[in-house]
Amino acid sequence: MLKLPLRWIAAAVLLINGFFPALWILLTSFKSDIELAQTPITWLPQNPGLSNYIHAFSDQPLLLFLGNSFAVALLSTLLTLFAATGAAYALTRLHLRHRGLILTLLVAVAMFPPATLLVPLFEIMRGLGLINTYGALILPYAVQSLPVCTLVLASFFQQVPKDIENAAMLDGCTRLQALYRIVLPLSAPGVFTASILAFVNSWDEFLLALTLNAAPGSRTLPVGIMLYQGEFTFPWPVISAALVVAIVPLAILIIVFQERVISGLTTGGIKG
Amino acid sequence: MAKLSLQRLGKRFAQTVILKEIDLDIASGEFIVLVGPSGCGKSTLLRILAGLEEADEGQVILDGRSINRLPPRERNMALVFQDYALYPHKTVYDNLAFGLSIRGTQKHEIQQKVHAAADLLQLTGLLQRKPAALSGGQRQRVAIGRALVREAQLFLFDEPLSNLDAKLRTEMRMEIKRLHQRLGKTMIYVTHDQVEAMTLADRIAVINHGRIEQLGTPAEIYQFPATTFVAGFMGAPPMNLLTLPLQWSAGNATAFIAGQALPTHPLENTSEKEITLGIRPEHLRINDSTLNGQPGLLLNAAVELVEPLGSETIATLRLEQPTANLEQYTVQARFPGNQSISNGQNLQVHVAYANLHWFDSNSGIRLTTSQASSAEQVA
Repeated sequence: MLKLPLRWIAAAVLLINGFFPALWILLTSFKSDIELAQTPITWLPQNPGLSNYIHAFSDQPLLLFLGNSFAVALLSTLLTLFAATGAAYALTRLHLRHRGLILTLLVAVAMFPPATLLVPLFEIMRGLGLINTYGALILPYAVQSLPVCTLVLASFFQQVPKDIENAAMLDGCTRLQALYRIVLPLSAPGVFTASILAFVNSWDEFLLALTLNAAPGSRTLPVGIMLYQGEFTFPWPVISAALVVAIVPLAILIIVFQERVISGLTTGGIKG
Repeated sequence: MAKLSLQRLGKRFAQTVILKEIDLDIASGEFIVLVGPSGCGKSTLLRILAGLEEADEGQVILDGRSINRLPPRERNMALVFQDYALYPHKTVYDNLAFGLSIRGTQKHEIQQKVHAAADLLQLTGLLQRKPAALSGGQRQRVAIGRALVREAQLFLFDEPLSNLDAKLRTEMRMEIKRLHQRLGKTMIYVTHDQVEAMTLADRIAVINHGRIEQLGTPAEIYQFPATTFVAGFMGAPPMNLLTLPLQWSAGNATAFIAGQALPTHPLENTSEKEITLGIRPEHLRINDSTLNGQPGLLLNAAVELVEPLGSETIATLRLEQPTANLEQYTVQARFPGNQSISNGQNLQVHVAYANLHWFDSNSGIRLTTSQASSAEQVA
């Protein structure tokens, strides 16, 4: 256990490390190109204004990128949740053979560096005719998020007492109904956690998005933001504004969901 | 109505045999208690009936139809779990209503049935609460209510009272008994508590090591235990079981206790060297005039420990042996509370021959035949 002052110092280092880049991007988004190039640097914008934001939306179809990203992230998250729920339930509740091996393989899949999958994925998506569509990203994103989401959900399912589920099945539920009407609601914090993980994973992804879905109409945010830079120019303030626009929905999502990630939801159902 | 028949049921987990050749016929409206020590397989048996476990062998026949392959939801049975197993995210009302709504019952009918059950179980004021805001007794009431609302044809109870304190347990026990009298439904109740078994059951099945040791009415089980296990398990304090040496002459065996020869039950196996004698604690009496005329055994004993319970006193007695090299026997006796007993006191206790139980020392099986026909013996 760290002593109290040490704990505060550790917390401060973590906070600064985490927040400073985001704060710097936010401050930059309100500065002009000239102010940014000044030395000594200014910390607070001297003439804060929204011109960078206006440029961000007018120079590139930022709204379209946002919509694309949102659609891809949402659909891949739903797909991940659907598959991960089934997988996690099977791993925790059904008497599977080679359960340990399946878990190991699941973790192994999550360890693959995405770059090694790039060429095969491109070939597969081309074969499926999905290049430059949402589908080209939704499927691999779902696969990427699946292992960690399955593990998260499995650990929450495990905490739901088996007899509550048995009671539901005696009450008239099929196994699937018991899963969706009893086990999932009781694992809500786990579902929210898995959703956030899957959503953020899709929202941030750049490499696959650039390779599999770079057509102007279906570009996602990370690829779109790259377009703000010219051959010889880096309009950092405008890029920063676009980045802020990209970060804000995610931040709101996390804050809203975090409130729901409450523990102790199963209190009182069984003795204890 | 629900008539249940278990035929040669068997269950094993990996190499461990949990249940072995369970045969049991349960009449419609009967209250059967499955009693036995922890790990004897009684809860597994209940779960097989509910469809939560699959039997490896044998059949479960409900009203003439094998239900082995039916999923739990199609068995129309209700199970009250030891840990209540309420839905913690639902209110009491929704807990009670869930079974009906999942079966597509009309809303007004659900409302009517939930309120009727809540009335019966005194839950009306708690309908909008979540389980977390209820006491243990209230939660167990909700669990029973959930079974009640569905009008299941068979009620299963898996040690429903073991998490409650002693006073509440007695109250709930009476409520369950009243409920059975009122509804007349077939009920199967699992417990390790012999008081619950004796007070609730029409018939008791004593289970040990996955087998039914004895099936009978509470009186039969208590008065004519089929094995030493049943004799030791039912009754508090349990039956005193003493292993006595045998002497053979001209094909007749005589047992010896405290230097006295004791005629035993006729034995078939003439190579037996020992026999087990069983005496219920309440059958040991001090200077009891009711023994007059009845042949019996008279034993000298020293009081080792006295446990006064008010209405009665439990005394641990050491029987006097004529010589010190003989085996020492300690027995427990139950005397009326008004009899003054003190530590170290020397007593003379009587027990009528008619109240002696004889068991085979090797197999533990009861030897006296007087009531053997009424005490169905499976072991």
